[in-house]
Amino acid sequence: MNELERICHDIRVNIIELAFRAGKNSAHCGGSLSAVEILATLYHKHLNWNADDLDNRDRVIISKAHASLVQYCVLESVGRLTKEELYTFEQSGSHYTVHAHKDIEKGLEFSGGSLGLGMSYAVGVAYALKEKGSKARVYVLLGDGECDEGIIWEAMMFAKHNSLSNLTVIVDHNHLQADGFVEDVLDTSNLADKFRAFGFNTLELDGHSIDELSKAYSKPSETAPTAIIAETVKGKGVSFMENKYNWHFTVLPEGKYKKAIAELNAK
Amino acid sequence: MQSDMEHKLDSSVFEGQGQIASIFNLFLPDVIQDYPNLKILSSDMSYGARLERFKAFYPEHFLNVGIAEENLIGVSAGLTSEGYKCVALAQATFITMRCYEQVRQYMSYMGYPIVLVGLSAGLVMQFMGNTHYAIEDLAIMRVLPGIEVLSPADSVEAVRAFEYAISSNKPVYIRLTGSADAPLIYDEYETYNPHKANLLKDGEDISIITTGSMVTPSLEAAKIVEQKTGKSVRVIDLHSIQPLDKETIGSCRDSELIVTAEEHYTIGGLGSVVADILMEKPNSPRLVKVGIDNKYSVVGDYGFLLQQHGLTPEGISQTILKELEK
Repeated sequence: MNELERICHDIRVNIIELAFRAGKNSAHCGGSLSAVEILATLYHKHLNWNADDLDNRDRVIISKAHASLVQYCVLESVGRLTKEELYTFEQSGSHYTVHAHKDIEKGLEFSGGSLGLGMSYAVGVAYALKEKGSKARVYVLLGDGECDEGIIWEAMMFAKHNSLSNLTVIVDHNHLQADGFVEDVLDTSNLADKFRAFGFNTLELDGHSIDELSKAYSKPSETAPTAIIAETVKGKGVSFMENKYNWHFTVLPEGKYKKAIAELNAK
Repeated sequence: MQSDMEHKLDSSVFEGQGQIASIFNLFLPDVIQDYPNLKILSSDMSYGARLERFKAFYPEHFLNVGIAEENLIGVSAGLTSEGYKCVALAQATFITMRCYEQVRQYMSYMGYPIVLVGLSAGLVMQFMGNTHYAIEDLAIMRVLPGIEVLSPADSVEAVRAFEYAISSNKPVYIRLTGSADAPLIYDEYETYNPHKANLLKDGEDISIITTGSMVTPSLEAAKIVEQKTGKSVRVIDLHSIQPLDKETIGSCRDSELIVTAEEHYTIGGLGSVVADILMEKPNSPRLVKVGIDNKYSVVGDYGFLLQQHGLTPEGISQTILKELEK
C-alpha cells in the first residue's frame, strides 16, 4: 500500500466512524465511499491551495453535496479540519452537517444540498476566473443520479459556449441513486457520449485508480471544459455496502459498524 | 456609499419611456463607467429589456446565458463570489418562479447580493396571457430572508431604486410594472431610501397605501372619493415591501378606512403586508384590499385586464365608496 492508498484507507475508516457516530441521524456512506480516490487524489496531488493566497486557490465544488461526508474526511487528511471538528459531523449545532456550508478558509466553497446547483455556480466561478486571467482551476463533483437535473445541462452548454477550459467536471459514476440503479430510475445511458456531444473534453477512467485519476487531472484541455467520467462502485471497500442502493443514506448499527471497520482493516 | 454614487437625474427624459427603458436604455449607459465590476446578465431577454444600445457600447458588461433562468442565477452567484456585481433580468414571471429555488439558495441562503430585475410584472404582458402575468411575485419574494423587495411607482423611482440596488451589498428584487406610456409621478427624487415610504398626498379620513403601477390610479381615485364624499384621502407610495416602513403604515391607524391597491393577488402581497402590521396593535380601522382575486384572468389588452380586476381610478374609488356605505 503506497502513501496515498493508505490515506484513502484512513478516509474510508473515518467515513464509517462518522457514520456510526451520527447514529440514528443516518449518513451517506455509499456515495461517499465511491468518491474517496477522486477527491483524495485531487487534494493530495493536484490541488493548488495556500491559506495565504486564497485568491489563487483552486476551487472544489461538491455539487453532489450529500458527499460532504467524504469531503470533510479528505479535508481532515490534508490538515484543514481537525479531528475534533470532524467528529462534530451531524451533531446538533455543528457547522459540519449533511450538506456542507460555505466556509472558504476550511476549503468548503459552496453551501450544497439542492442537486445541480453546484454545477451552475461552478460555471459562473469559472467564467469570472477566466475573465480575470486567473490561473486557478475549478473542479466540480457531480453524481450520475444528479445528472437527471435539467440545470446540469444548462450549465454544460454555458461552459462549452464560453470555452471554460479552467473547469473540470468529475462525475462519480457509481450507477446508483436513492431509489435504485440509475439505469432503472432514469436511464442516462452513455454519460461520456453526452458530455462529448456537449463539447467537453471527456475522459473515461476507473474512479478508484489513483494513477488514472492523476493522469486525467494532469492534462486538462486548454481549449474546452474537461469532463472525467469516473467509473466507481457505490459503497466501495465495504462488501455489504457495495452496489446496494439502500446504503445511500442509512443508519449504521454497531454490528455493521464493527464488521465494516474489520473489513477495511483487513486490507 | 449610495450618496457618492448618486447621479443627477433630469426626470423629463424619462417621460413616456416606461420603467424598463428608463433604466436600461437611458440611465444605465450613462453611468456604467462608475460601476466597473457591474455585469448585466440575461436569459435571452436583453432586447425586451431595451439593452440593445448598452450591449453595443459596453459588451464587456453584458452576458447572455440563453433561455435558462435557473443557470442565470447560478452563474450570477458564481460571478458574485469572484467579485462582480450582477444584475440578472428576465420577465418577472420567469425570474421569480422558474428559478425560485436558485433565488432562495444563492441570494437568500448564501446571501449573494445579486440584483434581480423582474420585467413587466403584473398584467402588462396583455395578450401573452396568464403564463406571462406575474401577480404572485411580491408574495413569494418577500418571504425569503435577507432579500429586499422594491416596487417603484414610476420611471424616476425605478431608476433611483435601480441605482440604489447596484450600489448596495444586499440581495434585491426590483419589480417593474406599468406600461411604457405611464405618466411620471415624481419630478425630483433624491437618494432612494427603502426604509421610508413616500407620502404623496395627505388626508385625514381615508388612507390608500399603494405600490408600483397602482400609485397613479390611486391618486386619481383619491380625488374622485374626495369630490363625492367631502372626506380627505391620504395616498402613500409603499415602494419597498421589504424592508418595511412600519411607522408610516402604522400612522394610518388614525383613518376610518385603510385601503391597499396593488397589481398583484390580494393574497400575500401589499394587502397582506399591511394587514400583518395593523394586526400587531388593537383597534385598527377596517382594511379593504384592492387587487386581483385568486383566479386567472380573461385575457385582453392592459386596460381590459385592469378594468376586469377593478384596478382603475373608477374601480378603486367605487370599492372605497361601497365600503363607506357599510
